[in-house]
Order: sequence, then C-alpha cells, then structure tokens
Amino acid sequence: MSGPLDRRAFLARLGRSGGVAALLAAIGYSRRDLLGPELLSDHEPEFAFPDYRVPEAGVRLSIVTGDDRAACARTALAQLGGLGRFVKPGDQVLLKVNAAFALPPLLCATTHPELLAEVIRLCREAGAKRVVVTDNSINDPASCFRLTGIEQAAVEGGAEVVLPADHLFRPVTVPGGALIRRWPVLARPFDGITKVIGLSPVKSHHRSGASLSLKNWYGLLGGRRNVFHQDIHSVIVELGRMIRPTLVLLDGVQAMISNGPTGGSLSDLRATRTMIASTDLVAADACAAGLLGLTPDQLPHLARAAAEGLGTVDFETLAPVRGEASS
Amino acid sequence: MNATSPAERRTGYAILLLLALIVAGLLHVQRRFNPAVTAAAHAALAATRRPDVAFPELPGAQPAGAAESFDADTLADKIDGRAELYLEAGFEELRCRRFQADAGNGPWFEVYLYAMKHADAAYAVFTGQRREGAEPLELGEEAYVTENALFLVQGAMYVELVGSAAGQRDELIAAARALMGASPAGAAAVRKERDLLPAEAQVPGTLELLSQDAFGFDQLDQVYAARYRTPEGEGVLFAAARASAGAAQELARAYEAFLESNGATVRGEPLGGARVFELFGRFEVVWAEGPVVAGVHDATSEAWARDRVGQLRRHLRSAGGVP
Repeated sequence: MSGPLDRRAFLARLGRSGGVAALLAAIGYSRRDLLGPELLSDHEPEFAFPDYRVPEAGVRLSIVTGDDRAACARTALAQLGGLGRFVKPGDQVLLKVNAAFALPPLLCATTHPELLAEVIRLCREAGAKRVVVTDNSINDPASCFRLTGIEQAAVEGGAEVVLPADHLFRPVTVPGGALIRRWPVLARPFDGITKVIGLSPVKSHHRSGASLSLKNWYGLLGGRRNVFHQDIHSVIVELGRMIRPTLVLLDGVQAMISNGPTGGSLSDLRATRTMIASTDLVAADACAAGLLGLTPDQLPHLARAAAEGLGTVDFETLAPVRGEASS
Repeated sequence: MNATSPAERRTGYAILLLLALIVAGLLHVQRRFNPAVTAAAHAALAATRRPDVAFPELPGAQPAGAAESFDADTLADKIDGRAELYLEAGFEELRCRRFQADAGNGPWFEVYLYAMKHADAAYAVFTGQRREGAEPLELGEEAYVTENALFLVQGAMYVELVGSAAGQRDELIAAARALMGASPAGAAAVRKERDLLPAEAQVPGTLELLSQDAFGFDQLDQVYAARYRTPEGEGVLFAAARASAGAAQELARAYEAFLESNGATVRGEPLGGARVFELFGRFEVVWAEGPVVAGVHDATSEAWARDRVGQLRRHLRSAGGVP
C-alpha cells in the first residue's frame, strides 16, 4: 500500500486526470451538433408566412344549414359579403384542403370534392388569376388526391394541384414556438400566393378531440410530424400562429362524430347539416365543436389559441350570420 | 489529519465550479429539445419498411394497389391520430391492400389486417371502435357489417374491410369469409372473461374491453364493460379479473378513493360492503367479488345502481366468479 500522497504526486495525478478529461471534452466538442439532425438539405433560409387576412373584411362568422355542400358554401360566403370581399381580380389563391388519406369522399375524412369544386368556381368568379390546391398527405399523395376526388374536382375547375415533394418544403420556425422550430413545411406552393383559404371537414380526432380548421394546417408540416401527437394541443396553437389565412370553411354537412380522424364506416358520420365560414378560426372551431357533441373547453387548444390572441372561443360575440341554403 | 493548502482548496473549488457549469450547460441544452432529433430517428426506421409485402389473395377480387406494411413506428403514416389507440392496446403490424371486383372505376374496398400482440389487444380495439346498431355476422370470433364496411376480430388479428361506396355488403362478406377461411373461429378462442357480465338487459353491441385507463382511472385496466338499459334507468356494468381476491379488493378500494378524490359522495347504506357513490348526478359502485373487481358506472339513478349490484353479484356467484 502506498504512503500518504505528497503535493508533487497529487499534482501529477491531477494533471493526468485533467488531461484525460480535456481529451474527452475535445472529442465531444469536435463532434458537437448544436442544430440537431437537419430534415432539409442544405442550410436553406427560413420561411415565414405573410399575413393573408383582409383587415377591411372584418372578423366575421357565417353559419349555414343545408344538405347540399355547394349551396351551403355559396350561402355561407354570401353571408360574409361574398367571396369577392376577400378575393380580388388578379389574386392568386391557395386552397389548403385535407387530402390526408387515400379514402373515398363518402367517408368525409377528407375535404369533399363538391365543396372544393364550388370554392374554386367562386374564386374564378371573383377574378382569381390562379388557384392552387395542395396538402401534404399522410398516405401516398397521388393516391390520396385521386381517391378522394380532390384531384378531379381541382382539374375540372381549372385549379393547379400541387402534390408534396421534397423540394417544396422550407424550414419554418414559429417565433417563440417550442415545437415548430426549423421544421420542414410545405411552403413553396405559397410562392406568389396572395390569399389562402382553408377547407376542412368536421371530424372527431382520437388524439386532439377534434380535427377542425386550426388542425387543418397540420397538413402543411413535413418530416416525421406524428411526433407532435405527443403534444397535439400545443402544436395546433403554434400552427394557428404560423399562418393567418384569409378565411376558412368548415364542412359539417356530414360530420365524423366517432372513430376519427379516419373513420371507415358511414355509421361514423352524422348529417349535422352545417357549413361554417369565418375569418376567425378559433370561433369557427368553437362553433363546430358543438356539431361533434363537444364543448369548446373539451378542446384545450381553443382556449390557448384565444389566450394568444388568435380568435375568440365565445363565437356568439361575433354576432354570427345564420341562414339556410337552398340547392 | 493533513492540513489543506490554499492552492489545493482553490483547485477543489475550481473543479466543483467546472462541474456545476457542465450541469448548467446540459440543462440548458435539454430545455431546447428539438423534436427533429426524434423525427430523424423515426425517419431512419421508416426507411426500413419492406417493399415486398405478402398479402392473402381474395377470390373474385383483383388487387387495385400494392400491399403495404406498417409497424409501430410507421402506423401513423396510415391512420394518423388513430394510431395511438392501437399502440396503447398492443400493436405488432398492419398490412393493407386495396381490391376491386371489376377493373376500372367501379367501387373498391381496402383490407386492413392488424396483427396485435395478443387476443385481448385485438378485442380491445375491435370493441373500442364498435359501431352501434350494426348488423352482427357469424364470422371469426365476432364481426359486424355496416353500409360500407365490415369489422371482425379473430384471435390476435383485428380486420377491417372498408368499401368506397354503400351497398358493398355481400362483396365485403365474401372477402372476409375468404380471409377467415383458413382459420375458422373456434369456441376455444372465445375468452371466458366476456361471460363475467350478464346478458339480461345488456344493450347489444356495447360490450367492450377497456385495455387501460377505464373510466379515467389509470389503475383500472383489462376491464369488460357494457351498457345496460331497463325501463327504470341505464348505466354501465363492468368486471375485471385479477390475480387474486386480495388484488381485486385492493383495486376496488383504490377506485373508491379515486372516486372520492374527484368529488364523489357516499349515498345510503352499503350493499354487502359495496358503497354507492354519487358523482355529478350519476351513481357509481365498485366492489370485489372474489378475484373479480365489479361495479356499476354512470347509472342514472341510485335505485337502478343498487338493483344492478344485485344482478351482477348473482351472475358472478352463479358463474363461480372466476374466469
């Protein structure tokens, strides 16, 4: 056994230990990656969505009952003063549909082609120079756009269908966001776009409670976005901050009241006979929650979005215009 | 004892300071968690998906697309937010493929074969999504068909056939029979636990297996529950087998404590040791019957809840109480 440690031996040992620690630290430093794995090639500059709202159109909500989607959409927009109040001649309009699944339109898991066809027609009527239809599908995009009937409705209406592809994504960071940070977002289809309209079905959602107009922007996210399901309400609020669209239409003519977001059976649907159009997404979603038998406080993201100034949960304060659609 | 020199003390303090700085640095980096790290790891896993997926042939139907396979890491790529339902129950693999009776633009249907980790997991996802009012079928262990879709469970396999149009009933049944042809349902495959609940007054198509977090209580899992209705009221009866009478007793007490912590108040006299609780105008009872935790949930009246306690007790005792 060695004797007591003298000063020289202590300093020698300290020096050797320090050397090993310094060597390990140097190796770690040389291999550091402060940004984490890049989901996008190159160091592309970040993209920020412009504000697509039309301030002079005000904050409004329109609720229409009926069975004919096209008529409901027409009436709902007319009650907001007509689509011409939002879309001006020469505008380039992007319609963000829900084409998440390769499922038939009768299941109402995706934006119904009848609604899309009517909105494209109204955009044309308002003088839109160009109408783009896009979504980052969950299933194979070509199958999704074809089997949902969205592609056919878009093409027949004279709109461009943009299917997601790697080169169409740009990194986006929501200022102050904890989740969407340098995350790949389907942003290139927005090049030149002056107005954005969200078209979403009203659906229950196993994770978030409901999939409505705010959740619809989830379809712009790329990468392995299902990681966000672990904090779904937070990411929905961040999506609301990420993009401020011109207006949204929520299709509750047939609502998926159970087994969402994919459903599968016609018995998952209920004829709730309602179309909602609004410039306030929080108000539209709070209103649509009732179609699913939910109260707004059962969807925590709504209160959080309202607290961040994205809209109002108390949609009646907007004095919604109510009406009935005739075919 | 050796005296410590000022130089040694300063060195010691410097090392401690360095360690504290390292800890602070680690905490700072962890706070800036980037989901992309997880995402990239998942992307690497997704890339290992097999392109050549075997899928059963269906007589009279032609494949209308390639067969696909999804594992636990990629399931959300197919069914998005519903993936958690399967993952929580115990999921192994999903294989799916579209079929069409006639080539061209006619109706099609997609077959989803969910391989679950065990039969209870399959039964849980089958019953958890059961469509009320659907037509039951003699197929597999249990099955039903709706206007456009067919759902069945067979052992650890849960199967969906989803049609693109209403009126495909016969086509879907034929396809499902072909799928099940090689493995017909046997009486032995039907789990005895389902018989824990009485048939009388049970609303058809409401029996389900709650694999976890039953009624919001995280300790209550593998619970069979069904809705019951009589002219006097309605509610849910439930039963869950446990390893021993002691374990059942302990769980029943824990559930009572959970009810009380959520504001439930005791009503009237206990029924043979089982206390009746009122919670937000509804009535709850839980007790242990041998190795079975049994109870009444969400009853519309106290009298109805008490009557159901008697009914469930008699049933469990006549059945021996042990699955």
